[in-house]
Amino acid sequence: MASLPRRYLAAVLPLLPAERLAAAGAAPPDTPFAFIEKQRGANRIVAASACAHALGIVPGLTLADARARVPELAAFAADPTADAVALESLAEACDRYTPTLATAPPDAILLDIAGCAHFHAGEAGLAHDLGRRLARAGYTARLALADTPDAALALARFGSDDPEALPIAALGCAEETEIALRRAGLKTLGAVAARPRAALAARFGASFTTRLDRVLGREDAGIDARRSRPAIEHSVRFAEPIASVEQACHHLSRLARQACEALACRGAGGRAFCASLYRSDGQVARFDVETARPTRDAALVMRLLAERIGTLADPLDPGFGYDLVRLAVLVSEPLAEVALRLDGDARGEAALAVLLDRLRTRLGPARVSGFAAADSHIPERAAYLRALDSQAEPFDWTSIVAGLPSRPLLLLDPPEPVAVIAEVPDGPPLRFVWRARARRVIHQEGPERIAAEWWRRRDGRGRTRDYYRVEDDGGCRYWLFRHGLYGTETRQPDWYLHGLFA
Amino acid sequence: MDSQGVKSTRTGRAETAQKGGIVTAKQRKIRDFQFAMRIVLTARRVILKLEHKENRMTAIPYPSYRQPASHPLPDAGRARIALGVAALDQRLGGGLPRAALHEIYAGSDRDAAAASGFTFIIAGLAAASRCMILVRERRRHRSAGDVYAPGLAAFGIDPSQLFLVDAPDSLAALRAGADIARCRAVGAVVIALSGQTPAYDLTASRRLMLAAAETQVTTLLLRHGCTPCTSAAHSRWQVTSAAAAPLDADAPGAAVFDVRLLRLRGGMDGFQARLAWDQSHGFFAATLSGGGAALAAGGTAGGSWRRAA
Repeated sequence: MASLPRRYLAAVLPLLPAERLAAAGAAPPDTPFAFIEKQRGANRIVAASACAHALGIVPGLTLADARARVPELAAFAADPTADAVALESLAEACDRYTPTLATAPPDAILLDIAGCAHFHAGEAGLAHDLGRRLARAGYTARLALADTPDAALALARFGSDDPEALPIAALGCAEETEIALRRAGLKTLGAVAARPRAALAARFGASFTTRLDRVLGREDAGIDARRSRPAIEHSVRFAEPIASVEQACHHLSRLARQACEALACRGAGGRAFCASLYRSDGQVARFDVETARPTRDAALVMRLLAERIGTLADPLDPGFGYDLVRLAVLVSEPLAEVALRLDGDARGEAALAVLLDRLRTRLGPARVSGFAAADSHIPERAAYLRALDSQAEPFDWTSIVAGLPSRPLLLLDPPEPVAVIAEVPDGPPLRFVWRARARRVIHQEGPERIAAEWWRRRDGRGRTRDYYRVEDDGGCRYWLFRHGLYGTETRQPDWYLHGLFA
Repeated sequence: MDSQGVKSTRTGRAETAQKGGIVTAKQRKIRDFQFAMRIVLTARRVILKLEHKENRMTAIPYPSYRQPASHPLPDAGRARIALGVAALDQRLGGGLPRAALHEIYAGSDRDAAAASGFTFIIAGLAAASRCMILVRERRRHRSAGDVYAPGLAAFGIDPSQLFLVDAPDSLAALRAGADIARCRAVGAVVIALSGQTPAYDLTASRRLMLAAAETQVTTLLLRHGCTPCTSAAHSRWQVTSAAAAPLDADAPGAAVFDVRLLRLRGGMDGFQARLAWDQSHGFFAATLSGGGAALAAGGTAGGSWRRAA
């Protein structure tokens, strides 16, 4: 498939740290303040507010020098993590324009807007809308459009329209390279590009010419999208934001019907759905639901989504209202039309799958599980719990259990240490103390000797366990083991209680 | 009531007597009918009160012909779970009803395994070939031991037919349990709660009971570390572990339970028996020691022949 020509929009936020702080209400936006970091033994400024920039405070200055110029300069500790989080949340909100977007840390967002601009009266309209929304959220943005992501980013960073006119600093290459280029009298990318490529590659390496092509818009490196493009996506936009969650859910159910019709056309069913509610002030609420088997039942999807919304720790806040509601089918699988069997078994299975999906949606995917058998004779490894979404063939437990001596109903994992009186070297337990209560053994059976899995261990050793099934004077039955053979493996074997029989 | 009040009622009666002179025969008939209705309704209320039901007219069950006939009533063999001990099954009216909530309490801390075993046996009998779901609290179940798949298989339960649901707290566990009980595809649901749980009250138990009655999903509530409390469950059992008859070479025998029927709706409680699980036949058997004597003597425990509330 021939790939479509791409168009990229870069949004660079030069004042991101300062504006993040101002948006959070932690600093007044119209005062000089700066972010400092300890560099080479001095507090140096790494970012500053717009007002501080106007007063000549630039990154790299020490705090003492800056305070000499602007005595009232407030200083905050730089927090790159918070900046990254703010950038991520802005990128999340930009999802409304295109599904293919990426962040370019520390301060830029890249959007692949090929085929997405018609909603906004062309590319310029889209860029204008993005700038307006960012400005409303309190961020200054420099925007640029180009055919490659690197070109768009460079144009936005350096505030230029022509890639050829960009300074060589836009290449972002090593300092020696920059100095060498400047000494050769090459100041712009256009001048560099006019030189023979073979000579440039020989002098600065092949990666230099590649980088040059990318920044000049000749080679598209593509972007690492934050999320994959969904198979099916339906959305509805509102000229006037809707301010109630119920209404948003109503529109979601309409979208779910559309998505399920689209799935039916493809003969597929969805396994994972994602509903997104875009608030007009830039916040996005997302809900993912997954189903155990492919489905195209819109009512079921809505039930799962409603369950998800109902179990949110803090309820949905529509704020100033939602202006875009979207439903995406993230994963789809082939699903053939099936005729219901007359005995109703298929319907029962489907009902069970629906029930388990609801529980997984409400409690979390790992909270609904089933037993799986492992090929191990160590008791606690023989059976484990596995989340239901992994589809595997059922185990034949009767054949697994058939050859074994009896196993306890309840297993203590890890086994609990007990104090035992037993004959040395390998006598059965006579008395033991578990949870601060002494118990006298009346009947016992054993030992069942289980060797350690020496092939799993680097030193090829491990302690043998001697299991005893015992009954105490209270009529309770226990599963005890001696850890290690007396004399050969250990001098003082420990005893553990591993299970309780009914 | 003071003398003034008595006086006023008397004058009231005198007024009606005076008016009574001008009532027609038709009005008198209506009045008599209303009086009779009032007696009937009061009697029904009193009966309801005696049965500890909610004292509201809405609580009166519909006559059978008004029940929705969407699903056919199951035949007698499927409606009850026979436990295999004749005297016990007879006392239960042919076995435990499938479409109901049953509570199983561990007698003490040491009886957690016995209570679990008894619960899973009943769940296995109820579920037959259908699946079974265990709902438990996420943190609590650890200290008492985790259900072990090979051990379940020893009670005739296929571990691949068992699903486990971990709820964050008892309220979520009960909510999940009620949702499961409303799904017809499930054979049995076991809700394991430990410690005193205020979330499990009359309303919660009634909800589970109604769900079970509608869908025929046997709902079992397994509790330990608490004292039995009032609920709408059909039956309530207390299970303690008991000494088993030793096998050859002095080996401990198979599972034996001392069960006590603390409550049976519409039946006699205070029943005690010692039951041994017979895996080869898939039924319980009454053992001859201890509780067997009580069973032979009519199953009274402490002579309390009390009509269950």
